[in-house]
Amino acid sequence: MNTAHWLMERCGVPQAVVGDIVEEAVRRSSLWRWKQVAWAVWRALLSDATSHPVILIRGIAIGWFLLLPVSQAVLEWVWRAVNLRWILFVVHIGLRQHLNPLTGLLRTLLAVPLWIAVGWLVRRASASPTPAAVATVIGLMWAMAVPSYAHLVFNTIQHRRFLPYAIVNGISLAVVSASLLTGALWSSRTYATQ
Amino acid sequence: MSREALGNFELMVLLAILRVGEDAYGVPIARELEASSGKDVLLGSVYAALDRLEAKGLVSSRVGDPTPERGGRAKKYCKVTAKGLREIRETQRTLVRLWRGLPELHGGTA
Repeated sequence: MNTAHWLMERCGVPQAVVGDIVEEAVRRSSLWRWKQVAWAVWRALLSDATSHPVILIRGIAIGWFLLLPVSQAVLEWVWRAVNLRWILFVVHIGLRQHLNPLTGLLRTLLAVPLWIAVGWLVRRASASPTPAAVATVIGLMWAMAVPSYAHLVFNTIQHRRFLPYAIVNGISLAVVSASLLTGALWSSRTYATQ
Repeated sequence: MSREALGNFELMVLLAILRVGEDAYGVPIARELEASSGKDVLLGSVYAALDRLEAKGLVSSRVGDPTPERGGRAKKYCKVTAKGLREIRETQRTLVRLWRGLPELHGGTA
C-alpha cells in the first residue's frame, strides 16, 4: 500500500479519497486497490486540468517552448564532448553496424537527468497540486511521436533491418516519459486537500 | 424539472446517501451502490459525483475527525440538502410519468 499511498499523495488525490481507499483496501484485493488508485489519480489530474486551465497552459508552455529546447541545447553541448570517443568505442567493440541505434540509446540515457529536471521545473512552474501539466506535456509528446513511430514499426515489419531503430525509439519514448514523470512526482509537495 | 438534470449516477449517489443516513461518506456510499447494482464502484467516481452534487447545492459536506484505520485521514460526511430532496422527488415524478403506459417495459422480457 505504501507505493499506492505515495503515488496518490504526490498526484494530489484528495485526502478523503485516499483515506477511503486505505480503509477499504484491507478487505479487498490488490487489483481492486490499484484500480481505485489509477482512477483516483486520473480524476485528480482531470479535475486539476479543467478547474485551472490557465495554470495548466502556463506550465505546458514553459515546458514545451522553453525547457525542452534548452534541455536539447544542453544535450547537444554534452554530446559534442563525447561524440568522437563514443564512435571510437563502438568501432572498438565491433558493433559498428549498429552505431546509429546505439547512439540514439546513449543520447536518451545521457538526457535522463535533463528530462527529470524539466519534469521538476514544469510542475514547479505550474504550481499545481497535481502533475497535470507534465502529464499533458507527455501526452503531447506521444501524440507527436506516434505517427512517425507507427511508420517505423510498419517499415520494420517489411524490412527487419529497421528493428534496432524501432526498439531504440520505443525505449527512448518510454524513458523520456518516465523521466519527466519522475521529475514531476519528485517536485511535488503534499497538499492538505479534503 | 431544473435546467441541470440529474445524471443517472448522481441520482444513484443521492439515493445511496439517503439510505446510509447520518454516517454517509465514500466507503458506505460505494458499498450501498455495489449492493444495489451488483457492480464494482470506483471511489474516485463517487467523489466526482459528490463534488458535482455539492456544486449544484444538492449535497452538503463536513469533514470528520482523522482515524487511524484510514492512515490519519479524515472522512468527508455528506448529507442531502432540502434542494437535493426536492430534486430527487421531481426526478422520480418525471421518470414515473415517462415509465407509465410503455408496454415494452412490462412483463420483464426484452
